[in-house]
Amino acid sequence: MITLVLFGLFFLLILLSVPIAISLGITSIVALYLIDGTTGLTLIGSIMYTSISKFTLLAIPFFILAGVIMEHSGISRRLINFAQALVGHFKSGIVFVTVFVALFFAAISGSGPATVAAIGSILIPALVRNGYTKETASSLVASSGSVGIIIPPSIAFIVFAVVAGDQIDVTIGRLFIAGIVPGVLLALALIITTLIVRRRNDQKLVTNDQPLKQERASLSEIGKAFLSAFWGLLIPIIILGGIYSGYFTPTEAAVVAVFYGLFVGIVIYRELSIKKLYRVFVEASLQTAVIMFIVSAASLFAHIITSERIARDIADSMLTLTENPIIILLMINLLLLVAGAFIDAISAFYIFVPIVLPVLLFIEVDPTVIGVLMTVNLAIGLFTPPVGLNLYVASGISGASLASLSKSIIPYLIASIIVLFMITYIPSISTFLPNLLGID
Amino acid sequence: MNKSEENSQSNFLVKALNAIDRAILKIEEFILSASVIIIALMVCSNVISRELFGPSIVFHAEIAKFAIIISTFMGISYAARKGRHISMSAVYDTVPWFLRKAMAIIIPLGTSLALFALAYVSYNYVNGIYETGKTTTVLEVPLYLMYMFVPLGFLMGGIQYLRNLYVNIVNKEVYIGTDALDYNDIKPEDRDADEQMQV
Repeated sequence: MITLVLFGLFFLLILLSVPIAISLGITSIVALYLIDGTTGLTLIGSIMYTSISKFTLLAIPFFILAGVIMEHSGISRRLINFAQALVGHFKSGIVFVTVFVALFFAAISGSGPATVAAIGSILIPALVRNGYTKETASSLVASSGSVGIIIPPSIAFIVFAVVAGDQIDVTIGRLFIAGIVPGVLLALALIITTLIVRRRNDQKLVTNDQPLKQERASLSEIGKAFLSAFWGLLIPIIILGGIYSGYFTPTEAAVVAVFYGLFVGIVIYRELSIKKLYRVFVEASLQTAVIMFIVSAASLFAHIITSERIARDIADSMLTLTENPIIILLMINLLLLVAGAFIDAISAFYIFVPIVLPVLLFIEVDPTVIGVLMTVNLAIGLFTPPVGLNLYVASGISGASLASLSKSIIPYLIASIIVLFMITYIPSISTFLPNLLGID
Repeated sequence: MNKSEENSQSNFLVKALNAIDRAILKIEEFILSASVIIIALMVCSNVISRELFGPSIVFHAEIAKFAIIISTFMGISYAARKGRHISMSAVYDTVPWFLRKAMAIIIPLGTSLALFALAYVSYNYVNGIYETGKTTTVLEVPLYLMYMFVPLGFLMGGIQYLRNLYVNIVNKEVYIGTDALDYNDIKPEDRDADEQMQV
């Protein structure tokens, strides 16, 4: 009964376009009242407070802030120029530029939609000028931005580590490194998909503009572009280097990235005025508030799932259906892909980690692989219609309708799902690098 | 009282309310940005202290937690004003205009009621903490001061959603926030990528 109320009411509210955090809150209030009357409601304040006052979660505002600073201080523009200088002269060089810059930007902001917003306004028009339809351009940017939650540092991995921390011992550092190979594989899949789509479209006249035939950049031009982008290129090195050398925790690394970004934007590039800086802080704190409110409300929902043994019951019923690891992994992937298409990654972690973690541990899946597996599923959700936050952002930039984007994104979804199944059934893709580097 | 006096009075009231609204907006923006800066300063100074002098700053975690609570819960109403709370709008986007308009009235109403309910239950919780007289471990600040931003944030959010409701009742267009016209009602060429950026 409670399970039906919990999930039924939640998905009804979601479909009615009630904000996700509010949907989680309303559902939790109703469920707590049904379980324990007004006594149950006394837990709300305590759970919502303690859920976001965890030190590890403090990394979230700073990876967001680092991303916003990077966008407004001209770092992303310089990165694009550098990438263009390197590979822009190839026939499909702009595709490599898009994916490379998305990966790089993602390695700082840790957020998919933030990546799309930052690079899309420059790269979608550039892709269109190079003969791609605005639908293909938007699809490539939306799907590339989704890789942002897999490439370290990743907000999604931080949330997973916090949510799963009660049941498994997995460090954020290990998850970060584990995300690199799957992230690169996804990026390659997106590049190949775009090249195939382009080849199919080449017969038709795609645009009135003549595709840009960029000259090969001279060594001095490449050098100039590199020097201009150099300070930006150092950011991921500082973040990841600092974490793995033991100088600072992921939270502290995020803060250091912010101060470094401010230094670059104010002192070196001189693009961050005081007025602009104020807007940057407001924008970052707004995004933080939205995410942390979801964390807070989702924690309430997760508390009910675990305390009422709902997660345990669902896990048990999954295991009574089958104990075959291949089928269980397939079922969980399908569950997460569908969930990712309707709710954001953070809510999904709080709702589904308590359910799928016991099942995956029962079939002896490596905890690191579980983190990567769930994150890749939810990354795909970021560009899966009907919700796909990244699709909304890309649509807003390009002016392409969501209906047309929903069609043009299909090849990218197929390619990503192929990579997802590789990650699922070849666990060494995720564990190879952390094991090689000896990261626990 | 003649008509011109009535008009000038209502005019004055509208101006006064607009001034209050602008002041609240500026205060919210200041609180949000200041809280992020405070967290950054606390964590960064802790790293410097640990690397240069050995011991960590003992109170930094408490202040950082305090600031994240403030920014999260005080950000609810600001995000509502800007129409930036994440929602699954696939159904909403496909329905005809009059249904969207109806949803834009019903959703803020339901949301504000939910936020008022959350404000009420969290207020009771904070009140309970106040009565126990508990303090924080390091700074020994009364604990209720940390918690009081939870019901306050919910209350402000509830009020803001009522304003969103009002804006949708008095205007023909559909608004997702008092400062944000519905995405479907903006021409593609007028869309500002920054304004559309969501988390």
